[in-house]
Amino acid sequence: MRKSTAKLVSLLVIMMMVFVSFAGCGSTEEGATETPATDSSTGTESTESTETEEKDVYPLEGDRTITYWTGGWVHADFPTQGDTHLMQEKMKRTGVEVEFIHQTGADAFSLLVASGDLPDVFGYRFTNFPGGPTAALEQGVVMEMNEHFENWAPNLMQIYADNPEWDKLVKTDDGQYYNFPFIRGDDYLTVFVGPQARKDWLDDLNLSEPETIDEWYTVLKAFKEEKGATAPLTFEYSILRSSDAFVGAYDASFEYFINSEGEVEFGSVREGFRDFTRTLAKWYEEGLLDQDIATVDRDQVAARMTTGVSGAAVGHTGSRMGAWLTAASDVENYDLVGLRYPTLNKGETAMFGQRQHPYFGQGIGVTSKARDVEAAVRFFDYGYGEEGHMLYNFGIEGKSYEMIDGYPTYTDYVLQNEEGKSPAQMLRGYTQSVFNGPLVQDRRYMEQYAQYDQQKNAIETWMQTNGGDHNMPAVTYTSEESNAIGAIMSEIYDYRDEIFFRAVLGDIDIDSEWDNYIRSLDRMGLQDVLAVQQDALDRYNNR
Amino acid sequence: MIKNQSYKVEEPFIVRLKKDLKVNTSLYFIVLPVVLFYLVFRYFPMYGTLIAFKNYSPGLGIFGSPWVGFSHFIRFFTGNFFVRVVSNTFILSFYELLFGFPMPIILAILINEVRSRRYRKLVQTVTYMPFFISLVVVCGMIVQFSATDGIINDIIYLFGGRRVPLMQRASYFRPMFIISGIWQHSGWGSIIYLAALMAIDPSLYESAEIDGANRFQKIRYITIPSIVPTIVIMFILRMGRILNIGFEKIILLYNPSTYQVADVISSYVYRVGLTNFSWSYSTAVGLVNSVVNLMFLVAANKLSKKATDSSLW
Amino acid sequence: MSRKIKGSLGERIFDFSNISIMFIAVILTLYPMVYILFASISEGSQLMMHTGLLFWPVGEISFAAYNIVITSQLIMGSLANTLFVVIVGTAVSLGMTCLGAYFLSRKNVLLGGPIMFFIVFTMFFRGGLVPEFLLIRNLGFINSLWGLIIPFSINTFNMIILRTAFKAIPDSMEESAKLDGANHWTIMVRIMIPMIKSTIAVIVLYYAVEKWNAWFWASILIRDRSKLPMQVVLREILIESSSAGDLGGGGGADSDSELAVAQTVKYAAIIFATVPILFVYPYLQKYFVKGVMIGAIKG
Repeated sequence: MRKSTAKLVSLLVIMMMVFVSFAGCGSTEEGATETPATDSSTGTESTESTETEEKDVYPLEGDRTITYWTGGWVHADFPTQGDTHLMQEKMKRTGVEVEFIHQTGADAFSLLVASGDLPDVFGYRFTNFPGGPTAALEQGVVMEMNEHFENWAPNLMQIYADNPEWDKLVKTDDGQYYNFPFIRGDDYLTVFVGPQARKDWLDDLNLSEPETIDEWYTVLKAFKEEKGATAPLTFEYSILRSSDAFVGAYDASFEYFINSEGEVEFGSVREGFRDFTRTLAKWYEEGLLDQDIATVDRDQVAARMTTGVSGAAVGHTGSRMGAWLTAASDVENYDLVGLRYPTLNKGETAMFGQRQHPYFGQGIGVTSKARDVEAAVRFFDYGYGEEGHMLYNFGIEGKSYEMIDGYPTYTDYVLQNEEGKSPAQMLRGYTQSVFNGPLVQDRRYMEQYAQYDQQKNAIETWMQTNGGDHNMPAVTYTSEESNAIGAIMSEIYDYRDEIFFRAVLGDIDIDSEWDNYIRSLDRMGLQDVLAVQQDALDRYNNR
Repeated sequence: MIKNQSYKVEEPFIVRLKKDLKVNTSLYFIVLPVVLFYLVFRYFPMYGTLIAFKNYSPGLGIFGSPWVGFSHFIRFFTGNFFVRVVSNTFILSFYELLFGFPMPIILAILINEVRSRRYRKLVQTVTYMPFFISLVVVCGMIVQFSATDGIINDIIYLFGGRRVPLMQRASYFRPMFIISGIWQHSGWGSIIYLAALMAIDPSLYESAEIDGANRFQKIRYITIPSIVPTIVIMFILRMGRILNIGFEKIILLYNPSTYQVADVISSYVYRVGLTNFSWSYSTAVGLVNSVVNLMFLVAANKLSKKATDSSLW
Repeated sequence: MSRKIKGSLGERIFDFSNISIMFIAVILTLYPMVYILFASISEGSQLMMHTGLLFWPVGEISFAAYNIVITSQLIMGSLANTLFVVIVGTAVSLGMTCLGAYFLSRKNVLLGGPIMFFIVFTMFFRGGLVPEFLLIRNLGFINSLWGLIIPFSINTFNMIILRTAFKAIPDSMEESAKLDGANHWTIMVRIMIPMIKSTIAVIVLYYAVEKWNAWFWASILIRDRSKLPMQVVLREILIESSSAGDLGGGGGADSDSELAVAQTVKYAAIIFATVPILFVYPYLQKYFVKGVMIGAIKG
């Protein structure tokens, strides 16, 4: 019996040892492949530091491969992004083979970071990285790019030299570059959300386009009474929040912002926020605001806007206005119009409105585990050059676009596809301007992508706010700062949302709750957050 | 047998173990792969719970990250929402237990009483279907059906009621959550009971019939007692998950106007933990969760051992 | 005599109300499925404009969405991967679970109790995502379908259910088999497992469904899209373009550039991903026949 126990124990021990050595083996193996790769890249660095013409550089020689993590990818025609016409062409031109990794799981990226099991490059919104870009650099998730850009990214450096305002946005307080940014190349592209309403209804009712909150009230009431709309105004809350529509009329907002003295404030503790909440509560009570306002999603808003249940909404140019116009194309006279961000008094300009900074944190980072840094940098830098810019924004000449009088015009093949594929679906196969990526987005893309005149006019209308003066830029935090305020910030938002909705839905009265609301926010640490934001902003201004 | 046991009490453990290993060698070989599985895939990674007491940073690794003691636990216990999320979790879980747990049993018994075999098959197959609809879709439908212009309100309106935005009222959140859970899981949950019901000896029913028992009496005196062991085991296991309410359904269904009743531990951790990459913090909360669950499991097991003689260990 | 008539009247009332209740249950559970089915064969643009219930597909009936699903390389490839994981994975899991459950159901085994606790303990304490991921990676399972099978080969919950079934078999069975010279292996495979067919059927169903529905680890472990199981693909289609996409965090979903997969395709994908697994159950149902096992049921 002694024997059998011993046998059992020794067997267990052996199994454990096998397992442990297996585990150890895996990691040493990886280490082994890593070192020579970095050696070779530093080797090429010294030999190739002489400036060469673009044509001589591409395609890169030898077997150059990078792995590229990009979150999710859904496209009916292409299993991976690497199969798109755009990427096939770009790989051919640059001589870099790219292996795309697509993962959608909520924790996939978190786990990638936590385990240190990083790809060579990845696309991410760096301002969403907990602690921001500085934390990403500190944790070795991305590497500092300054030196590599000097060596291998002439196109991007040229763009930065030509556009110092972009240069300021894309680096940390210490002047470190950390990614290949997605830049909206024109003011016109930074505005894409706003209030809109049924133009045909307004005309029918002989109403002019509403500009003030009072006029909106009249219009919504008329929609309800004359047009039988049961939810005259509707919107997805996330869109209201990010656009500051209506609340901007009261000089308040849903976000942190820079006031006229250059100080950081929280827009949801201003007196105006209280007035705004009271107004919405009144609209809700009178049935002017969608009764399901806290739960309506994109599909429900779309159904309401196209069936006459709702007459006004807040939404994007493309995925909302454009989509609704298309869906309701067989409804007689159906028409939408983009409306000015409302104000309290006629002739004013709303203090807030949706407007994004040209760079909002989205970009491609090169990780500290990257094996062939040069290949990665060269591959992405190509996209910022003359040829690459055209490729990323318009695709392949003769296929997805033609040069007509010096204007890159999308072909009918993509805009009016015979197989009935939508322009967005086609464009995603040929370009990347239609979503985001390592490129400077071209205005001429939007001019054609917005197929309806209503969309083009809406953008012009929505640009008329002072939102741009108050927007917080992509500031960066130190690690102490992000540790201190990371959790507080989301708790503050959650609490604000809770009070806001309960007040609008009539659960509580905003006026009696207000003092308590302010006190609670202070107790949660609002002042600390503001102090940190102020410091970060000051550092940003001194860049 | 009994003689044997009284022997054992006197002998020291190691001696008994040796004897046992000899007698049951083949049995231990049967369980060996299973034990190895648990050692490798479940016990080995447990060193990871260390990060609950550290500030985990990927660059430094689990062992290299600095110790912070109980600060993550303190942060959780003193947080602004601690009381709220813990009590919400218990309340929701309790309701789920109270209403959700018996439903599959009732359904199984009723299905078992259906005489037509074809109809029984149909009911079985249909009621288990909702289990396969993705949660995202189910929640989408819940929101749509409970909206003011949804079917539920249409019915309320038909009977002269007022349209209510159900998912926006704190008072309706829990019922909606529980009912939709029942809808989705009862059919699936009843399968295990049905399997137990199928194992009942038909002769028991026959003799009951001879004794003149009616349907209710048969259910009460034969059917239910036969599946009690299964019910008890399921109940004990359920108690061990008292604090586990998946965050996904909560997150898909709640909105700011229902936070006050809907926000539970897992959704809270998801919001402040996982999305902020606070691995250490979320591990700490997970640990608290596990300890509470284990306590409930042990208690339920003990109780059931006393009351019904069936237990887990 | 009179008692019998009374009884049968009661029986009839009982049967009638039972059948009615079941009928309502069927309608309630069936409708959402029917809704999805109708939506999947509706006309896209009209579906978008539709509010309220569907009692028939809106617009002209069209199977275009199914055509897209079926011709999609990604979806069809993922179906093959899922089938592999379900079939091989269920077999492995069932084997492992039987071994454990049989052991745990035996009485008079000294280490039975401790091993039971050793196993149940893991239902509550897990190492957490990061170390488990590192372990699976170091074992070389990354980007491999085996990584979705081996590390998840036992579900403790299922093992406990199976153990309860083994336990319910009278001890006399084991005793008499032993007298005939059978060892534990023979007893388990030849005698006991056939006796608890209905529970085995349940366990097979549980595992098959669990593996069919699993997406989380696949979304983390699989890097090569041609190896993705179907649920991951389905999730991408459903979540990426819905408002629940907020769950994902990253990405630039705030621009108007996000591309919605057509509603009808979403619904068609749901049907496509649901129908095959639905057939497992009716097939297993034949094992749920009364009297498969004779004997008292005792815990």
